[in-house]
Amino acid sequence: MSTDLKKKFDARDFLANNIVPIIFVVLCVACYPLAGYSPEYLVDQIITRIVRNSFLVLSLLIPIMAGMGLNFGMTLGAMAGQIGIVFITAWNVVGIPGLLLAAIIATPIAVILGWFCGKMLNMARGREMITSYMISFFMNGVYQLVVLYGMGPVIPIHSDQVILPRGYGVRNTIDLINVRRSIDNFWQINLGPIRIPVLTIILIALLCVVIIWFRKTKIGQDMRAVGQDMEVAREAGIKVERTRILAIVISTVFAAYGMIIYLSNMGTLNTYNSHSQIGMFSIAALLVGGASVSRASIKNVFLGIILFHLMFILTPQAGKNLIGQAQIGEFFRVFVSYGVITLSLVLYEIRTRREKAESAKMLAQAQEVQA
Amino acid sequence: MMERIKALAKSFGLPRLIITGFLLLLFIIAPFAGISVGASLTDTLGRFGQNSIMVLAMVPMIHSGCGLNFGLPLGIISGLLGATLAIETGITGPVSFLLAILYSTPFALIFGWGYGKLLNKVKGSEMMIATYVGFSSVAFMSIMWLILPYSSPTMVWGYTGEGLRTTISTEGFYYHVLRDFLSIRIGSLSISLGEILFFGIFAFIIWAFLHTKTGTAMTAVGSNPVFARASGISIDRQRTLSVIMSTWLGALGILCYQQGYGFIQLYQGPMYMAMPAVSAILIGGASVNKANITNVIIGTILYQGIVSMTPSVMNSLIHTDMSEVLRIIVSNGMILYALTRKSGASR
Amino acid sequence: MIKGKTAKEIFDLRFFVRLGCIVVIIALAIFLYFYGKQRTLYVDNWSTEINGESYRYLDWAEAEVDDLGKSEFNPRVRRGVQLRGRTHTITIATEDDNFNLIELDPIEFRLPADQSIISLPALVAGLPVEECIQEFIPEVVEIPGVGTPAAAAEEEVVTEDDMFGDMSMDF
Repeated sequence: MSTDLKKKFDARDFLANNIVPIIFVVLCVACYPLAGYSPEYLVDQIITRIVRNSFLVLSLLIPIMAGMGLNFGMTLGAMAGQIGIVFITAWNVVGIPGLLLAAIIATPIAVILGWFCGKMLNMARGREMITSYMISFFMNGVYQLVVLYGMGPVIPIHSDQVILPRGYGVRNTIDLINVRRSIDNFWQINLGPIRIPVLTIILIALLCVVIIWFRKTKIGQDMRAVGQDMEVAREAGIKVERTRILAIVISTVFAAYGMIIYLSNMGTLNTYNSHSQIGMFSIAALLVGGASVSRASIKNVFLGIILFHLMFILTPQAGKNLIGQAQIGEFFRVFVSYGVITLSLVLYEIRTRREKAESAKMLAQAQEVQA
Repeated sequence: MMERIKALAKSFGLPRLIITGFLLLLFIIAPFAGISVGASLTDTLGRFGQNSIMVLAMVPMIHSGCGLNFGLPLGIISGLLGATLAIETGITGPVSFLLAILYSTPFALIFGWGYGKLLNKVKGSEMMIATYVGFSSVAFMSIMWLILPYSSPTMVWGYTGEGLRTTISTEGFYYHVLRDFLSIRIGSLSISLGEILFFGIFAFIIWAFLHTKTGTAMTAVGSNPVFARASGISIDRQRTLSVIMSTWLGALGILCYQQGYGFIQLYQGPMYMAMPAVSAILIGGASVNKANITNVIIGTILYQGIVSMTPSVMNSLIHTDMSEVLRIIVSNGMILYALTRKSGASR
Repeated sequence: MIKGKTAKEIFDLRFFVRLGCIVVIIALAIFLYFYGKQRTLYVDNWSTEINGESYRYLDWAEAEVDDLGKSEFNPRVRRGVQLRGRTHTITIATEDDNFNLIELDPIEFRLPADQSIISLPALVAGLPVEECIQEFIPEVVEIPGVGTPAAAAEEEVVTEDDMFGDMSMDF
């Protein structure tokens, strides 16, 4: 009798906990026939996008583990990566050495930015997400100050490809022919029209292994403890503030590397827009994969990227075939991207509230029984 | 005496002092850079008139403890619906302004009510969710602007005859309807009493409201929820009421903005319009859970002053237009500063 | 951060290990820079003048740099090639007046600048390679109206007012 109840509960619970991915699956299934793309095209596109974005989305896992919510500050890591790419393009260092050099340059920048972000978040206990969100906006201003005005006069870069004709400031768009698909082309297997870049996949797998290993280390355990309950962790002797800052720093550095991989795969750098879009889309993708503000796993990352990008590819074409304007499809996917974040946040809040109320009730009942 | 000045300076806050100082500096430099102080003041006051109501819209929600209203775009959309409907009915002239307000109101009430109910379910994370509710609604409306059956030739695309244009001019309708009303000229300085009066009326209404029984209840809900509940005040109702007020003021605010600016901006336009308003009220001395009318006035003047003065002064001095970047840093930095303060209530 | 530690405790093993790691990474960065930096080399078959001596172009030549593939060089031909790294070899084959094939030994050289030019006639004439290669400074020809400073200053940087810019862009 009790096992029957349990089973029924599981189905409802499953639905409630995973409503966002389910909505997306329904959406994609509905749009697929409307869009009319061939399966090979879609598979190739999805593989490319997984390869391009997983590193970035994976970087979001660590702050969630430490209880700091969705790290909108990953934009800062993306900025650091971009600055690295700008330098190697100006110096004309090509291929994988170039990307390695970009990573080396980006790392100290990402560490500093991550440290700043972490410090700010510690000062805004309880509202980490909106604060990291505002930090990304604020830093965007600082980034523009440095890149649009400082590059050239203050920071010596003299490449016509990179600097605007007026003599200072980086161009809007830079064609990254020097590093385009360098990692991917290094070792690529072709299954018909489907391209599989093996080296990049190895890198991503490496990061997954690192993350899984990290959870088991002492620092990882500390972070999880801090994520569960800060006060309890503090009493257990864990340096809570330092751990939180460390979580953000690691996340920012990974985001920087992820951005470098992303840019290498894309082949073009939109100096003033790439980083901000990345933050938003990565977070949306993670949420679509079923993650929540306090719990995210590697499964969420990959499921999320697949579903989110399927939606991204299918909706404009579906909109065009359905209503006659591709524009509507594009607006629709913008709406869905924002909407999914809103929905996830709201559901998470409601569920947390309900769980707290239930556990308070159970505690009260237990005390009554005792008395 | 020194103690008092020091205490005052500390409560005012270092960033605000820096911003005020910066603005004064700009005004002092202006004549040397060849910029007419009168024209600049006119510009600043004009922007004040345009934006003040949107900043005012922040006050009710801060009072009731819902935090900074990052979801202002919802109110702005109500205003846009009102404006487009008013133009659609084809009645030109200043009356269209009143019509726009009239048409916006039901939308603002409905949206505000729904938004308020949502916020009540997520107490503690209002600001984050407000931001994304705002974005989602702007994105959703972008689809709507394309497919809603508008037909007025001043608003729809020429070729297809369907779907609204991205920017629609208010010329012929309510362009400058407040700005030109009762405007005084003193040399190169022109002050629009119309706009200031309009703001003054609503500022007074809000101030008066906050001193009524309902208003004090609202403030109690924000500053001391335990006491409020004990006194029998329905927290949820007060919060919803504050959200509705804020949304309606947002609608009014965008209409006020449009009459001064001259254009109705649809589609992605309203996306980030909450930030300047949030930042302005914070610059004026408010915090995440405390705000008054003085904050609105001082904040809007300071914020708009910087936004209008920096480009002109900087441009004539160093021939570079860094104003956009500075604006981003200043306004977002201010919000960041406010978020990282230790506040009384845990919001 | 370093509270209550004596100088000896600070400069302990952990410190030196970390310092060592940083030094290794910086060394790696410098290596990557030189190894990965791509420079352009123009292989030139024009008549040229070096140190007062003129060298006439070759009537026919075939040259290969670094196993990148042989190219034929008719008179007045200049080909550019992208090279990575510092030292390279060039292998030249040409004909003398009696149409006999002359094959030169591979010559090693270093690139002096980001854009360099190496002269085939001079190399064939037996000059030491350091004198045959020099920095390549492209001639800037002014095309009126295009690319003038005024026009260039007009190229605006479009920084979106909103941070997220054009959301409908692909990503």
